[in-house]
Amino acid sequence: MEEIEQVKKILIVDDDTSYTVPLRNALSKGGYEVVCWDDGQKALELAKNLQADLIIAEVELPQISGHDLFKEIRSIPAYKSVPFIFLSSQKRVDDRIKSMELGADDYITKPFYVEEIVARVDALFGEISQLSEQQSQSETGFSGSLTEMNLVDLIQTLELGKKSAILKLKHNSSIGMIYVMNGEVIDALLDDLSPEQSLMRMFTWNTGNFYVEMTSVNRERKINELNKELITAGMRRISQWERINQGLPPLNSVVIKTELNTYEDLSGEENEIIQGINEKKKIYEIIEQSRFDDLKSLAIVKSLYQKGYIKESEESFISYTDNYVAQLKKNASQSKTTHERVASIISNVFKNSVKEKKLIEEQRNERRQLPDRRRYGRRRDDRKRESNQIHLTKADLLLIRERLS
Amino acid sequence: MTILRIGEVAIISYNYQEVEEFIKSICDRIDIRNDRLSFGRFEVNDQLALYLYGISVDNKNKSISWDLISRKTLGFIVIFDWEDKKILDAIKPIIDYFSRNFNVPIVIVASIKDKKDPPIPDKFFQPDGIPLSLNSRFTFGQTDDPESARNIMILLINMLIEKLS
Repeated sequence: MEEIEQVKKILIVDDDTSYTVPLRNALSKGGYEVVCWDDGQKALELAKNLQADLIIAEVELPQISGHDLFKEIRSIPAYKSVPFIFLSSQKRVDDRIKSMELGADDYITKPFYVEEIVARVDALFGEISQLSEQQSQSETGFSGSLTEMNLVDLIQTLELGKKSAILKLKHNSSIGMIYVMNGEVIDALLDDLSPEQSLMRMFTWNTGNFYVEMTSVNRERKINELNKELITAGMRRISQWERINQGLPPLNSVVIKTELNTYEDLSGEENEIIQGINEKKKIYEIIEQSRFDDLKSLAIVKSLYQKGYIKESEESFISYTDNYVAQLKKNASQSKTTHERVASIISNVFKNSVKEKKLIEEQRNERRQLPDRRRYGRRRDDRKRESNQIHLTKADLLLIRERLS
Repeated sequence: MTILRIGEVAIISYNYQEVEEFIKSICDRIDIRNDRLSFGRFEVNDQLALYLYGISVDNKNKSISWDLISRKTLGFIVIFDWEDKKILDAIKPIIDYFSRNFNVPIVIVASIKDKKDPPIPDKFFQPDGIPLSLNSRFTFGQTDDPESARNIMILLINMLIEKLS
């Protein structure tokens, strides 16, 4: 059922009509219901009945100051989290900081462009609706990154609480589903693979996102192994996968055949894989398209790479991205997909992915535990990481941003 | 002038002209210039300012003490020429070094010279940048265009605000 969106109500409290009139007109045009009031005390009474979605108030008001009005309004339970924007002719930093520290959502100095206020109001409501969407999602489940929590961790978590849930995993362009009933994995779906194969492939995913929907699951059991057996198999698989993966470029790197074109020395399986690389392909695409088990395919790709039959695409990141740009110019409507693709290419080039950071952190921890640590003392790297801190407050940064805009 | 709070940002490029163009786009002028560093001041008001330190990492500046520079730096803006692959290759280790050693936001800017005929469609000038990791974003930009330079700076400020939230 389509939800009807209610018109948002905005209360403006300011005694200067040269600002309130154009502001009311612009916000009304923007689809908001606007009520203006020139007296803070009366506005407070009005606010109790109006149920406004946003309040914009001048700091210096007759009868009651904007700051006091803010405190009074926020003390009303219904207005505890209603967004509040201050307007002011005061350019003093202290005044702004005080407003922000009180908990206002924004602070706008006069004179202002009404378009700017409308844009900020739109942005504020956008943020709020995004937040409430996330909150409603978190009420029925939870989500996160597979780098932080892999499938083994997720299954163990659900098993502990004997929970029923549907796990949705996203890795590159693939999406897999796992059904858990009372803490036991009962089915898994991924492309056209069998439930066991689907699960085994998803065990090796260490990048991407997951979403767990806590819900009752009524489904025929297609995976008969117990979680304990699945987890043991999964752990073994992860360890084998990582071992084979060592020495290979990242799996979303693009590879091509080299000039070696006699495949007599290759095994039948290697031959089959290399014949399938007729154009540039990402490593994970080769593995996914292979008819062999993923571990075996990965081992074959590694062997071909080490023997020099395939190599990373020689085209530089720039020229490669240029191809995408040419494509983009032809088809401007694919912005989201291509955006993600360009991001992935650039990420590979800069090689500072979260995974790598995790690895660096692990190596650092290992070094910390070395017996001769005392002799070498703390590494400079450890100190540096701790020394960086932001020396400005959030209010300062908001001010800088406002001035830059 | 009684500036009490200062935020420092390091602007890094292989090309000192790019660094100076960027600083001028934000601060209107270069306050101090020597063979290693260009400096510009962006005053928000009489109590708050951003200090922009522009460093070109060419051969002359091989022995830069990044540890010292990073100590009070809010973040790094690393600019490279989108058309020149050699510069990208040269700047990659610097970005890696920053990412590994300093826990501050890094904005990586692919500099595009002529906005009239950009090689990239406008939608690629992403206001939020393309996230590369928790601490770094990638964006396209034009260093001599004040609007573009300000957008790059706003991107860095937004990352800092996010970090404090």
